[in-house]
Amino acid sequence: MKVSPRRRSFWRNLSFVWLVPIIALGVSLGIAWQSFADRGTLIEISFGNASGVIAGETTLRYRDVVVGQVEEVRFSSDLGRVLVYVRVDNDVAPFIDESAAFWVVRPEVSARGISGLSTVLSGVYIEGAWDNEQGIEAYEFEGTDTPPLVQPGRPGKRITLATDDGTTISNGSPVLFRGVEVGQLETPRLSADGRTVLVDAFIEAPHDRRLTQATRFWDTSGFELSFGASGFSVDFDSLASLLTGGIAFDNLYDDGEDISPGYVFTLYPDETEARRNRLVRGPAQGVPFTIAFDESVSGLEAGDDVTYQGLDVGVVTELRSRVVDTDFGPELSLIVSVAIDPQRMGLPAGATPEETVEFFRFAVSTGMRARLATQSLLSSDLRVELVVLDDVPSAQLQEMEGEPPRLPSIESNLSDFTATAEGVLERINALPIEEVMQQAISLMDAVETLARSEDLQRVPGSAVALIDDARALVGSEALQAIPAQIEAAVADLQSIVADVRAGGAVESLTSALASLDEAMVGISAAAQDAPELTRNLARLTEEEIPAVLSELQSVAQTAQELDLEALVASATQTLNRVDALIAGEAVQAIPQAVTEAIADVRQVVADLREEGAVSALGSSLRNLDRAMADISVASQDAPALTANLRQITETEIPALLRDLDEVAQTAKDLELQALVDSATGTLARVDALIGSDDTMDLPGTLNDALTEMRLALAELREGGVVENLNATLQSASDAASSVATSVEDLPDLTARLERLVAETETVISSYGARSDFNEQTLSALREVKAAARSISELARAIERSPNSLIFGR
Amino acid sequence: MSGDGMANAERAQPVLTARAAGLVGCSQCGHVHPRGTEECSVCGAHLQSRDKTSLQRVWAWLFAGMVVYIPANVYPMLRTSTLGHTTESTIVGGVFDLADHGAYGIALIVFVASVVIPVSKFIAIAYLAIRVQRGLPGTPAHFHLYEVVEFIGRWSMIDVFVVAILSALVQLDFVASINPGIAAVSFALSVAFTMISANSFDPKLIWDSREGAEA
Repeated sequence: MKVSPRRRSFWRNLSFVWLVPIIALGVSLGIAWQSFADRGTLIEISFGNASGVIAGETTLRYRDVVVGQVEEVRFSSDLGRVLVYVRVDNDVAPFIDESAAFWVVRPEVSARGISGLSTVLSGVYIEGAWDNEQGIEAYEFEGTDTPPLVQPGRPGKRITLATDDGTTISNGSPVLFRGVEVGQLETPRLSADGRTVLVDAFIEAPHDRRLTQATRFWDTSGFELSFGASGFSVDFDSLASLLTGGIAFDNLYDDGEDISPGYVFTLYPDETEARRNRLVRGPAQGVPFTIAFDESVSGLEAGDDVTYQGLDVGVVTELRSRVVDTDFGPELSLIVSVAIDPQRMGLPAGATPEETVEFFRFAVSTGMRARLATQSLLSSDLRVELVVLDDVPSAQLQEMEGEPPRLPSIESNLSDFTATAEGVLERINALPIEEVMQQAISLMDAVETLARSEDLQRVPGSAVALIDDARALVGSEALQAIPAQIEAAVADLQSIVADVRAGGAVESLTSALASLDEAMVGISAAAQDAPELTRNLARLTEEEIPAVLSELQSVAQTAQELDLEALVASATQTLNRVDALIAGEAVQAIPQAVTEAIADVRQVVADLREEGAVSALGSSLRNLDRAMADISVASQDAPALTANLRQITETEIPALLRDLDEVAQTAKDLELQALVDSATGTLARVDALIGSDDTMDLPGTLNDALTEMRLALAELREGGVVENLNATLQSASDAASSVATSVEDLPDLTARLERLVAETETVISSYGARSDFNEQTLSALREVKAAARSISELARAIERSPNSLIFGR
Repeated sequence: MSGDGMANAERAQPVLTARAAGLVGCSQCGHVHPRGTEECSVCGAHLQSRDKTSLQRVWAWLFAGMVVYIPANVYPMLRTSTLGHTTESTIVGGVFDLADHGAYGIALIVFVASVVIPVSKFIAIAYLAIRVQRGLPGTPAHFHLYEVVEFIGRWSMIDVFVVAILSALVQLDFVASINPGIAAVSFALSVAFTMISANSFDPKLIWDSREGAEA
C-alpha cells in the first residue's frame, strides 16, 4: 500500500487573491448587465425620407428632452421606406403606444416663422409625441415628415372642413376665432370623388367647445378692398393669413347642437356668405318639401335661400327634373327640394316634422304659394319665395307616398321685370347721342371763332376807356359839389317846413279845405244838371263837329302842300346855330353862375326865415280861408247859373258853331301860303339874328346879368329888404282880408250875373245869325278867351313861382 | 517531467542556485541566510526560498486583468461632444478614426500601447506561468521575456493618461468637451491588474523547474 502524503486539498491551497478576478468579473458582468438593461426599447419608425437622420447621432426627443437615440437607419425590404430604429429610454417606452406620432424636426422657414433653428447646428432630430397614459406597447410606427396637426396629448378637437376651392388654404394656416388663433389647418386633400376639397383642422381646447352645428367657417385669406361711403379700405386678418390663408369661424346662434364625430363643416368663401347660410342648423332640422315649377329655374341652385317675406326660412337642397304623365302625354317637370327650418317659420322649438307639415297644410289652404324671385335687383340669381296671396286658385299641400309634401307654386313675375329693363336699355341705346355731340362740337367751334375775333378782343379796352371817362366825369369838382349844395338846400327847406308847421299854417289850410269842401257840395248840386248839358254837347258833337273837322282837314291838306321843306331847312340851320351858341364857353359858364345864384337864394331864404315871413304867410292863409268860405256861400247859387248856361248851350251854341264853320271856311280861303312864306322869312331872320355876333354875345351878357343879379341879391340881403318884405306881407294879408270882405258880396254879384245871363239870353235870342252883333260877340268871345288864357297863364305862373307875388315880378 | 528535465540538465550548463546551495536569499536586501532562517537578519524581511502562492496570484491577477480588458474594448473610451455632436469611440474605433484621418503614427502608437502591449502581456505572462506550472526548464530568454513584460507594462497606461489629460483640458461646454468612458476605467484596471500579475510572478521559479522534482 502506497502511502503518500495526504494531498492538500485544491481549495485549501486556493489563495484569497482569486477574489480579485472574481470581483472584477462580477463588476464587469454587472456593468454589462446594467448597460444591457439600460439600453432601452428598440422601436422602428418608418419615414418616407430620412434626410439628416444619422445612426448613433440623431436623437429622439419628447417635449425637447432626449429620450432615445437612433441606432440604425435602413430601408424596408422593398426600399419603399426608410426604417429608423430608435433605442428609447425604458422609463418612456411604456407610454409609446399606438397613439404615438413621430416626425423629423428640421430647420424650416415659412410665413408663420422660423422653426427648428436649433437643428441647424445639432442636426435634425426626431420628435415624438404621445399621450400621458400607458397603453399597449407598440414597436413599429409610421413617421411623418412634418409635425402632425393633432399631437397626441394636446387637448382639442379635430374637425373636417369641405370647400370647393383649396387654393387659399394651406398647411398650417391659422384658424381664427374673433381674430385669435385657436387652431391650425392641415394640408388640404381631395375628396374621394374629387369634387370637393377636404381639409382637417385642429381646434385647441378650450376653444373646441365652441364648435356646434351653429358654427360656420369662412375663408379670411387674402385681403379685401372695399370702396364705400367711408372711403377706401383694405382689410386683412393677419400677415400670416394674408400669405398662407386662414379661416375664421363663429357661431350664428347659441343653442347649436353638438357635433357628432365625422361631422363635416362647410367652408364658406367669405363671412357674408357664411352668415347668409345661417339656416341650415344641420340638415336633420330642416323639414323637407318639394316644389314643382313650370318655368325655368335657371339661376337657382342648391344652397340658395328660401325666404318668407324676406326672412330666410329654408334652403334649396336639390334641383332635379322628373317626367310626369299627364293627359297630354309625358311632361318634364322641374322639382326643387327645399328644407324648411320650422323654428325660423315661428314654430316652437322641438316641433316635429308632422307639426310642421300640418302648419304648411293650413298655410297653403290660406293662400301660401312658392314662387321664384331674384336675389337682388341686378343679379339673375334666384331664390324661392314663399308668399301668401289672396286671389289665387285654391290648392293644397300634395302629400305623396315616399316623397316630401309638395308646395304649390305660382308663376313669378321675373320676366316682366327683365323685359322692362331691356326696354329701358334699348331706349337709351337709341338716343341720338352722336348727333348731339356733333352739334355741341360745332357750337363750341363757333364760340371759339367768336372769342378769337379781334373786335371782341378790343371790347375790354374800350370798356376800360369808357369807365375811365366816367370816373373822370364823376370825379370833377363841380359835380361833386352839387350833392353838398342840394343837401344844404334841403336842410333849409326842412327848417322852413318846420316853421310853417309852427306858424299854424296847416290849421288854416285845413279850414280852407273845409270851406272848399262846402263849395264842392254846391258845385255837386250844380253838376246834377250836367248830364243834360252833356247830352246836348254830344248831339252837338255828332251833328256839327264832323263838318268842322272836314273843313279843318282840307285846311290841313292845304297846309300839307305848303313849302315846308324850306322851313325845316331853316329850322335845322337855326338849331345848328343854337347848338353852336350853347357850345360857347359863356353858356358853359352858366351852371356855375346858377349854382352861385342858388347859394345866394339860399342865403336869402335863410334870412327870410329869420325875419318871421312865415308867420305872415300863416295870417295871409287864414285870410284866404275866410275868402274861400265866402266863395263856398257864393257857389250855392251856381246851380241856377248852370241851368241858364245849359239853356244857352241848347239853343244858341249850335248856331254859333255854324257861324264858326263859316269862319273856318273863310280861313281856308285865306292865303296860308303867304303866311308860311312869311313865317319862313321870319325864321330866317331869327336865324340871322341868332347867328349875329350880338346874339352870340348874349350868353356872356346873361352871365353878367346873373352876376349882377347875384350882387343885387347880396345887396338886398344887406339892405334890409327883408324887413320891407315883412311889411309887404302884412299888407298882402290886409289885402287878402279885404278880398275876403269883398267876396262876401259875391252872392249878390252872382245873382246879378244870373240876371245878366238871363238878359243876355233874351238879347241873343233877339239877334239872328250874321248880324253885326253876332260878329261882335264872336270877337268879344275871342277876347274873353284870350283874357281867360292870360289869366290861366298868370295862375300857372303864380303856381310855378309864388315868389312873384311877393317880389312883384 | 523527469525525461525532459534530464535532457535539459544534460545539455545546459548546470546552475547552482541558492536553493540548491541550501541557502535562502533575502528578496529585499539580497543578504543570504542559511535555509530555514525565517527572518532576514539585515532588514527583517520575511525570508522564503520559493513563493508557493506566486503562481496562484499570477493567474488570479491575470484573469482579473483579462476580464476587465473586455469592457475596456467594448465600451467607449472617449465621449467627444463637438457643437452638439456626440461621438463615442472605443479604443479600436479610435485607432481606426485616427488612421482614417491620416494620423498613422499616432494610430500606431495608440494601437501598440492599447492593444498590442496588453495582449502581449497576457500571452507572455500566461506562457511563463504555464511553463513554470509544467515544470519546464527556463532559459535566460524566458527571463528576458519576463523583464520586458515587467518593464513595458506601465507604458500601457499611456492611453489612460491621454484620456485623463484630454478630459481635464477639453471642457468647453457646447463647443467641445471630452469625457472618459467606462472603458477608460476598465482599461486602467486591466493595466494595473496585469502589472500586479507580472509583479506577482516569482522569476526564480523559471529556473526552478528542472529541479522541481527534487524540490
